[in-house]
Amino acid sequence: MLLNISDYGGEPLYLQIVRQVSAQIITGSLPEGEALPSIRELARQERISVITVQKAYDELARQNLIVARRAKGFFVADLTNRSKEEMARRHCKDSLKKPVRDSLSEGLDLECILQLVRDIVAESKEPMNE
Amino acid sequence: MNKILELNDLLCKRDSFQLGPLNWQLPAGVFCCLVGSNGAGKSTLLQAIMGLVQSNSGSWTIAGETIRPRGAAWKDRIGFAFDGQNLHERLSIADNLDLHRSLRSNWDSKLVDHLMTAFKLDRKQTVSRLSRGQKQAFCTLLALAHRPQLLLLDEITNGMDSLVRRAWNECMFQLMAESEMTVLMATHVMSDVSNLADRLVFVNQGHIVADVDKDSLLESWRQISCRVSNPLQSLPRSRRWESHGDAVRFISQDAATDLALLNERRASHIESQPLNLDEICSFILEDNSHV
Repeated sequence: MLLNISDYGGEPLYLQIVRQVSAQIITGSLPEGEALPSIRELARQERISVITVQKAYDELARQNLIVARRAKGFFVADLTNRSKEEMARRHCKDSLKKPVRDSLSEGLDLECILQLVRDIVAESKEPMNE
Repeated sequence: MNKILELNDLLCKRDSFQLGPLNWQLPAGVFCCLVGSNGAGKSTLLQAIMGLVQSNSGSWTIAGETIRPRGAAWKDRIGFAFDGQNLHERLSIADNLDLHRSLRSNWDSKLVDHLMTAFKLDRKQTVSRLSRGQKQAFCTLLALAHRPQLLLLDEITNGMDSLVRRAWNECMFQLMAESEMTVLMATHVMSDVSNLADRLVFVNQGHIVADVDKDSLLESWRQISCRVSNPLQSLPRSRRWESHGDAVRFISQDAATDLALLNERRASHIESQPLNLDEICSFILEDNSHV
């Protein structure tokens, strides 16, 4: 499990872990049933405190993304495609809120914003240049 | 969570200064910083726990046991290092190590070797020829050599250059990840330990005025700016409120509530910027300076 944690972004470290791990789970790069590194292992690997990792794992467990198995550690939970989609929707809404609000106040209307989103989706689906 | 340290009505009087009475608990396994202005009582508190300052009344326990200060059980469990600590200046590092080893029953030579390498210390070197930062690192090594349950540090990162400080930080992370060690450290420079710290305890005029989780501080204290279509009165508990036309900027100490309110008011271009820990600490100390 590879994370990219920084002390300078202002976002609390445990939330950085929660965000990055949950994205890896939703996209499937951390598959169901996969074991997560132990709390102490991750603390050592990322040079963060044990308490921080503990807090992140607690939060991921609270969101039902991972499960704790007694004496065995933490594992990626079985998620239905529906709950994955629900989570992805929530992430999408959270990150779109600010740009949409800002664009409305800059005078763009709904149709214009929707067209821009369509463009971005189309660009993302274009084949990569070799 | 287990408590490593518990203070019960601890009271220390020294000349005109009074520390306490303090009732406070420190959970095991955390890195806790004591924050306060000069003369607030941080060092006195550490020295009271070290047994260097006699308490007038009250008691304290280590891992649930009432322990006589400076007795054998106390020595096994506590390690301490402070800025300007006495070392045998004219002796070599090796001689200093031998002296300390002879006083300890549970000396961990492997850990000492590891820390010697990490801090780039040379056994043959005379202590008086070390830089201040190297001395501080060596004091930390001596405090850790018996793998204490509770490590007390007073301004120990002062004078460390960035290389020594990074090595020092790495060692702290490593030790805290592999053991149940708890650290209580007085510091003026939070940025030295901002990644290590779990809790911050604010001390003012001999009293503990706040005991807070670092993450919740970073989440709740923010510099927020936005544009509002209707004029907005300054929000409760906000600071440095400034407005210019439809633009507003302020420092919030409850960002979640303030951001929700701004969203409700349909504010746009909301920016919520983090403050660094030193800034947040100075705001909190300012608040408590009139107590």
